[in-house]
Amino acid sequence: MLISRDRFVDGVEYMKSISWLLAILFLVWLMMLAGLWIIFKIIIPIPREETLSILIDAAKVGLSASLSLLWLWLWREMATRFFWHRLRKKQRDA
Amino acid sequence: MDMNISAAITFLTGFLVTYFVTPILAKLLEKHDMVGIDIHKLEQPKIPAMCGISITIGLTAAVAISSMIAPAYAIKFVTFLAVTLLACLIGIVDDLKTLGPRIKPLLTALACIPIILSGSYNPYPLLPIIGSLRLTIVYPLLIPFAVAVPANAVNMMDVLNGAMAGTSAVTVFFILICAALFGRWEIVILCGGLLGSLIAFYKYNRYPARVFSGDSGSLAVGAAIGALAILGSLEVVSVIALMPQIMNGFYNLSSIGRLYEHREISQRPTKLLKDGRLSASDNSSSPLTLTRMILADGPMNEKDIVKAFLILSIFSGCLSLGTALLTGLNI
Repeated sequence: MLISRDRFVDGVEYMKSISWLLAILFLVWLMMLAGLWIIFKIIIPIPREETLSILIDAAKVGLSASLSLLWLWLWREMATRFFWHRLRKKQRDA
Repeated sequence: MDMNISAAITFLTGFLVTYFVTPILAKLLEKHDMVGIDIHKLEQPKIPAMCGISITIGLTAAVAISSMIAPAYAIKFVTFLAVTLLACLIGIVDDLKTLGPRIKPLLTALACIPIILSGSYNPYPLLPIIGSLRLTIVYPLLIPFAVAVPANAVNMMDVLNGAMAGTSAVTVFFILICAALFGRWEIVILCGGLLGSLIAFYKYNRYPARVFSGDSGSLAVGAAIGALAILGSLEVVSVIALMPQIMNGFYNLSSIGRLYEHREISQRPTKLLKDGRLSASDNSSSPLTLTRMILADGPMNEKDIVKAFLILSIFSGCLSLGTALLTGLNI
């Protein structure tokens, strides 16, 4: 055996304790790619009407900014909720 | 000369210079009582601070060698070095006379001036899946952020032994691979020099630390990563590779709601236990740092927390490689 059973179990427990952070990183990355695709492939190519061009441009900027803020908010909420859930669970178990 | 050999030479130069300069600098700084207290140890030892200057010295030697072996890229090399030196200077001032929480990011943003003056940027950044964007007006306005954000994010990561040097080395390693994938050989050479310096510094800074980097080291390393991203048009992949550092900074700032200096915070995010391990604070007014989040499942020793930082950095690096591959696609 390359590593003892105890060390293996410790390693699994250790990886479990950071797996939720890895999952958040992965989700944030996926959401960023999806957000970029929505902004540059759907929002920006919206055709501009001659008479409403300023309004349409403002709406494009507003939509893109809202999407970016939603991304940041989701990122923060996920991390905060997960953190407090895990901390309280650990305290209850102790 | 073959670019791989050039990168290997700059790596070795950065490594050797930093490796030999760090202990000399540490002795000198200790003699002049420039020390910091390692607050995460029970014995609270005094460690020479500001030793991160040796990373900049190693990098300067590596860039000087690079300019000789690849003179065609001399302007980019000098620009990169100027950004790093400026950030290091700001770090030295901060180490000697603490700068305010608003002044520091503002000054680090000014470290981007050499990039703007030399015009060594490409205002057509490549985005994954989407392709190239034309940002001729907006791009120069974003450059100060591209230097200040990584500089301060890396600086905020410098909380545990080896955390800053280790995570930055992993980040730079993945940026180097992405630069090689895109054929940006001048960036591969610069990454080689920075990586060599960081690995040599990590040897002294890892647990139990014999030297502290100080802001002079962390701000310079962060600004250097930002400069690499701009000079190599590797903006998105660099942001992804820097995710753990950005994550730490983002949680910190969003939980407090403003820019702050760690000296201002009365409620610390972690507690030192009697057995030498660290545990997460359960006080809701403490900043939410990456260290505190890693400790959510229970106390850990400092070495294991830094190991978690490194795992997160490697994972982000793999995501940055995925992003680099997706950048080639245009759906």
